[in-house]
Parts: sequence; C-alpha cells; structure tokens
Amino acid sequence: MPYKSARKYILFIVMLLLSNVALADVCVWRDPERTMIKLFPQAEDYKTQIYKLNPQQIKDIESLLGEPLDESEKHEYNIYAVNKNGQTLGWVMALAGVGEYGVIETVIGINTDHSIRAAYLQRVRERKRKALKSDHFLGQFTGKNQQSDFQIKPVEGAEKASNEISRLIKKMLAYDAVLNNHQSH
Amino acid sequence: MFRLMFIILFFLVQHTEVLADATQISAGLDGRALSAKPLWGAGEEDLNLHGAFVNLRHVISDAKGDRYIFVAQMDADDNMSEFEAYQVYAQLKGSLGGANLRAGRYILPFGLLANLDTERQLMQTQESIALGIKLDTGVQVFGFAGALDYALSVSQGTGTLDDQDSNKLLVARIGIQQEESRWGLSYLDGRINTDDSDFFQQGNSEKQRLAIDAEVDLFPWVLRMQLDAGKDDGRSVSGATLLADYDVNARLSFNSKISYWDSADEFEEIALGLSYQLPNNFVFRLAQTWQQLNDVDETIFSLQLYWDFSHAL
Repeated sequence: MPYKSARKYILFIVMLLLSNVALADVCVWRDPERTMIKLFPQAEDYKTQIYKLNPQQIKDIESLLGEPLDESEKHEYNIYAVNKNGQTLGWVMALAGVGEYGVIETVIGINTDHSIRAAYLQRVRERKRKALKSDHFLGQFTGKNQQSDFQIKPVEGAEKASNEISRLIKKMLAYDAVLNNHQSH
Repeated sequence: MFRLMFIILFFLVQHTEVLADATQISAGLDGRALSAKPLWGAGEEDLNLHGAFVNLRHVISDAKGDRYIFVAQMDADDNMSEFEAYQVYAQLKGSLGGANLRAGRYILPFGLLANLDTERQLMQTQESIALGIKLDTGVQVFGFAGALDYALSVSQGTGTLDDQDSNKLLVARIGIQQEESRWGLSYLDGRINTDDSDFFQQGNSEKQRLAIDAEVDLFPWVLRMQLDAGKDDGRSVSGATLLADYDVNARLSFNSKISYWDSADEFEEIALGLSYQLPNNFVFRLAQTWQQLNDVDETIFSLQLYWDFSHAL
C-alpha cells in the first residue's frame, strides 16, 4: 500500500507513545441519574466529588483491599454525594470490571454509616446476567461495610462474574473508606 | 443566537453561589487505513490519522449539587489538516429526574443519534445520507421521567457554530428505556443547509422526518435499528439501518451493518467486521464494506486503531 508522506508514520508513532501516558480509562457510566434514583429514590440532587489519589491513599486502599490497584485506578476516583434539601443521604460509586463477555459496570449506593444500601449492575453481558442482576445475588451485599466478611454465594455457572462483582464492590468500599470516610464526620 | 445563549448562561452562572467545580479532560486518536475512498461517509483512501480530539468537561456545583456543565471538544481530522469544533455547549442541569437545558452545538437528538455517536467507529449510523446533518447549534430541553426519555431541540439547521439566517430546525424525540432495550420515536422538521463534505446530502432542502429507533440487548447480540420515512422538498424518502454486534468474549466482538436509503438517489450498504480490545485503551477494528449508490458500487477494506483516555484536571 503506497503511503503519501512521512507525517503519517510520525503521527502513528506519536499515537503509540501517547498510549504510555494514558492516565485513566474512559469509563462510560450510562444513565447515572436513573441509577442514582434507583438506589436513592428520595434523592433530589447529587454532587460530583473528584478525588486525586496520593501515594499514601493508594497504599491504604491496596492494604484494605489486599491486592494492588491497576495502574489506571491509581490516579483519580469519582464519588457522587446524593442529597435531599441539602442533607446528604449517602453516596453512589461506580466501577467497571471485566467479565467473560465484556465490561461489568457495577454501582453501589452507600448509607451515611458507610454500609451498602444497594448494589446495581448498570451493564452486564454475561450468560447468567438475570441471575447476576437479581436481588437474590445482589441482595447479599446489602448492609455490608468495609470490615464485613465478603463470603458471597456466587451465581451457579457465573462464578467468575460473581467473584468479579464482589471484588469490584470490595474495591469501592476501600475507596470510600480511604477517600470519603473522613468527610462524613 | 449562539452568542445570546451564552450570555444568558453566563448571567445565570454569575448569580449562583459557586461552591465546587471539577474539570475532566479526555482525548483520542483514530488512525485508519482504507483501500478506497467511500462513496459516502467519512474516510480517505490510504493510511491516515483520520481524527484526533480533545474534550474538556467542566462542572460547576452549587449548594445542592452539580448545576452547570460546560463541554468543548475540538476535532482535528484528515492528518490534522481540518480543525473543527465538535460538541461545544453549556448545560443547565436540573435536579435529579428534572429537565436539563442545553445551549450550543450538540448532536441532534434524532433516532439512534440520541444515544449513540458512531463518529469514531468504522460502521456508522446513516445521517450522512439520510439527514445531511448531525451536530447543530441551538437550544435543547431534555430529561427523563421514570422509564420515559424526552428531548426537544430548536437549532439553526446549518450544522455550523454561527448563526447564518433565521431558519429553525425542530427535532423532538420521545423514548422508553427498559432494562434490556430502549425504543424511541423522533420527528424532525425544517430547512437543512449544509456543506459538510462528510455528508452526501449537501445544499439546501426542506425536510420532514419520522423515525423509530431501537436498541435491544439479546445476549450475545446487541441490535440497533432505525426506520426513517419523510420528505425532502416534498419528495418521499425512506430508509432503514440495522447494526448488529456479536460479543465473542470480553475483548472480541463481530460487527455488522445493513442499510438502505431511498430518495432521489438509492443507497445500499452491507458491512462485516470485528472489534478487538487491546491493552492500554487501544481498540483495533477491521471491516469489509460494500456500498452501492444508484448503479455504482464499491468494496472497501478498512483497518482502524483507536485510542482514548480521560483524566481529571
């Protein structure tokens, strides 16, 4: 295939080099407001809190989680404070993981005591997605907090996705404990 | 009109107690190699940096929550030889579940475009032949109530940032969102006057359109379809598009498209391809596309390497 000029090669090399300075994945959270209303039906508004992680916070999150964060997770994290009449009702957090058939977008609502109010799967394309989205499975997370035992009964035939959802929720609770907990007092 | 809208929004922002703000930057690169220039739609023969973009999103919150959103995206296309504003708008965000007001240049909420932007994909929705416009400068009210989505837009009909005449283009869409599907009914009415080279339909014509769009998640398939009917300067036009994706695993999916458009000219397109998610936010895509315009047909082989990222400032 004939190429017109060296500029194209330069642009492609730049493109490859730039990939190494990518700071965070583009995380698409579809319909965030609908999800917030699902988790907090009485909520009237929300405020985005963007946290830029420092080395100590990364260390603390990894320590709570018992595993290292991915490189793309070490830069920033968004927490959405939902309120009614200016009173904070709780927080909504979202995180994407990988299932067998694509991204699993997991969202949790957190009460002001930092326990889980409810979990919701914004996007899941697994074979057993109905079972994964069911109250029977997601209800197991309700009431848990960062110190809780995370022995979750996985959905039969979707053990990998179940474990990934559980891991994502634990990770969000670790983010909450390190980044957000101090703000509630 | 554009200047006036920003003055109004600037006035509103000035009279609000600003408590917090946040800025997000995202950017992307879209490299493509095509075996031939398409009969319609974007793309050049040979290897090209088809597009590069930088998007800034700034949110200003008041005491209750996020209230003003400003978005500005610049695109550099065709080996950085063409620079243009993509979406550039200010948005007054209502309370949760309330109406939003958007002013500036935005993607028109017509048919699949309301929820799907295929600008950086090899297989695209068919506004380049069916509408002759995708982005326009105007004012839009949109939101949701329960499962219902709504959007109403009044814009210039020129596709440009500046006000060229007093012409108005009306677009309205009402949709229903369910767990595994969404459906919409759209209406467009007004004069469209564009000279964008990406659009097969250029020039000035009075258009009316009615469209039904749907997105259905039927694991492992995702189906997106749109049916259009209407008039161009009184002449009946109609068309249909089906985009079908099949997920093989978390990284690999097969993609297909079939569409036709019947107006003063007849268009048909069939495309098959795949999309593979690479490490470091890269996506590799390839497609074989067959296009027919009246009696002329062409087969195009396309490769794409796409990359994007986002970061808080």
